[in-house]
Amino acid sequence: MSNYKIIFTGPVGAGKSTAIGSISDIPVVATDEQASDMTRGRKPKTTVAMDYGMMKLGNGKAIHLYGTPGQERFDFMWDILTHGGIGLILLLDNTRADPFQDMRFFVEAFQEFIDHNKIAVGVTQMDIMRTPPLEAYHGELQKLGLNPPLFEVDARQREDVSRLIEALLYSLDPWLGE
Amino acid sequence: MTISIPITLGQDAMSEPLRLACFGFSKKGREMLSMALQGPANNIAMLCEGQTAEAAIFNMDGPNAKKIFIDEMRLHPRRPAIVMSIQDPGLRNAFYLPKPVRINDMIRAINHCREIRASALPPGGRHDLSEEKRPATSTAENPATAPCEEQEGKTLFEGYANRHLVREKKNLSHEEIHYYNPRDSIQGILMHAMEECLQRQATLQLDLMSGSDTWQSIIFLHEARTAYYSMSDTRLAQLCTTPLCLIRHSLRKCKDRESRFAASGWDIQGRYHSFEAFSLKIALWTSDGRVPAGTDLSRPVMLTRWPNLTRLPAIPHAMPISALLIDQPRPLPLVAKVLGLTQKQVFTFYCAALSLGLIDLHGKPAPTDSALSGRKPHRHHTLFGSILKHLRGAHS
Repeated sequence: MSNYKIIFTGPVGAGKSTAIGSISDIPVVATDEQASDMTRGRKPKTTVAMDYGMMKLGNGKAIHLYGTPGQERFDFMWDILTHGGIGLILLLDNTRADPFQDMRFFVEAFQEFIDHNKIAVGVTQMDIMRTPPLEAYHGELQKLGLNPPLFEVDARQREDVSRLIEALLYSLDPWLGE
Repeated sequence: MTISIPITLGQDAMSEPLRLACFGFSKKGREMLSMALQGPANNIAMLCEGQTAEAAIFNMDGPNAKKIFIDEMRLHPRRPAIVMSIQDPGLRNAFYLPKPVRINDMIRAINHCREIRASALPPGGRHDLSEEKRPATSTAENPATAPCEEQEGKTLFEGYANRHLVREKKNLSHEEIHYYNPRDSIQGILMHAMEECLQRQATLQLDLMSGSDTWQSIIFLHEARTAYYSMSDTRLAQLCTTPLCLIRHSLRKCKDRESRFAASGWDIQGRYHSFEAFSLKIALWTSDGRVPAGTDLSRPVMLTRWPNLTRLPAIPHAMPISALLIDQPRPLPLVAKVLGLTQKQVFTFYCAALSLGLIDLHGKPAPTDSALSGRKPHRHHTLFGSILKHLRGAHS
């Protein structure tokens, strides 16, 4: 079985676990625990190790879906998680105090991986908070030298998450065909 | 009075009447034409509204006839056309039917239109009916372009005899390029309404009426940057291809949004679109594979950012074209070539992206064909294809 991964990252509450659950063909293996003081205000449980899901592609092939823990203290895991990764999905929560700061943090943290692969960005919770708009995210990303696919996403919606991954794949290989 | 028709109608002509739109006729002239089609012409064709027509017939001696003809041809370049006139107007992209019109000549012209409709067009194929860009080739006659034989028949219209029925040679290549001006269609009115709404920071109501249809309204809300309308998408799409000269419109400020909604019958069944999504839909319907007039197709095009593809109406082939145009500036025909798409498909995307303000025409020099053809597929090309197939299957 192939050992390729798509990595989902982003801050606490951005919807990484939910997004993986939306497209995984197996029940998501989650390692949630009671949230610490830092994250309790946003959700009662948070991922402390990783989330794991899988898309079964047939003929024994599969693509693994890994979600990074949202808490910064687990960032030593990320290098391990990204090994064998084909691309990065960054989910950002539009209701956070400073989603751009979150974006910069994660882009810098995964800079080396992004340099060698590609990134696609999904902004969640836009139904709750419309601002900042996507245009502003594009502006901030361009300051970082990036112009990736950037979509409004509802992590619960399989189609939204699918489209984000499709865009990631086309970024990697525009000649994929239809 | 008995009218004899000395020609035999073909099998097709005996079946469904050809739907024919007529332009430049007075009410009386239209009625005469309708009666002639039903009676002497044995229901070979029937008059209908422009949008559902399979062919069009123009009275070129009417006011603004040439402008109406050109506008219609731009809107419906693949729709066969018949022009009636006292003198040959020299339009090489339509059948000329000289006045006084003989019923047999008209039947023959309509049958030619039917043949064109029935001919096997390539996917996306068009008849090149654009007068301006037709190459200056001679109108060499072939069986179809030969002058109509003198035949006895009923004169329908007054005028001088000039019995040439000319069929223009059609170029059926599906790589033909058609241009349009968004400001010459309802797209221009809608774009203006949205700009006004945002500039004036006011809720505006646009009322539209085409022909004898009832008024239709679109409300533009500045705070939500949203357009509301209750007409069907089909109706709106039809309006997008209706010549501007046939549409009456007025734009006014709404003082009380709720009362406006109630007065106009707006309800939850109405359609709600962000300005982005609305602009995109209108652009897709209006362009229909054409490019805006003045587009330099040799100039590289760059996409300034990805469209929000999870919240916008579906744009055909948006993913690969976006990926390619984000990567580096490329001329549109080259994009079509390297992705194996028709130019029409790429132009459709281009018009959609243009309506969203995502196109940058000040790109770097274009890469050469050889540079693109020498590309190597991604090392995980097959794997990506499998993932794509899996995802598409999941949400189809």
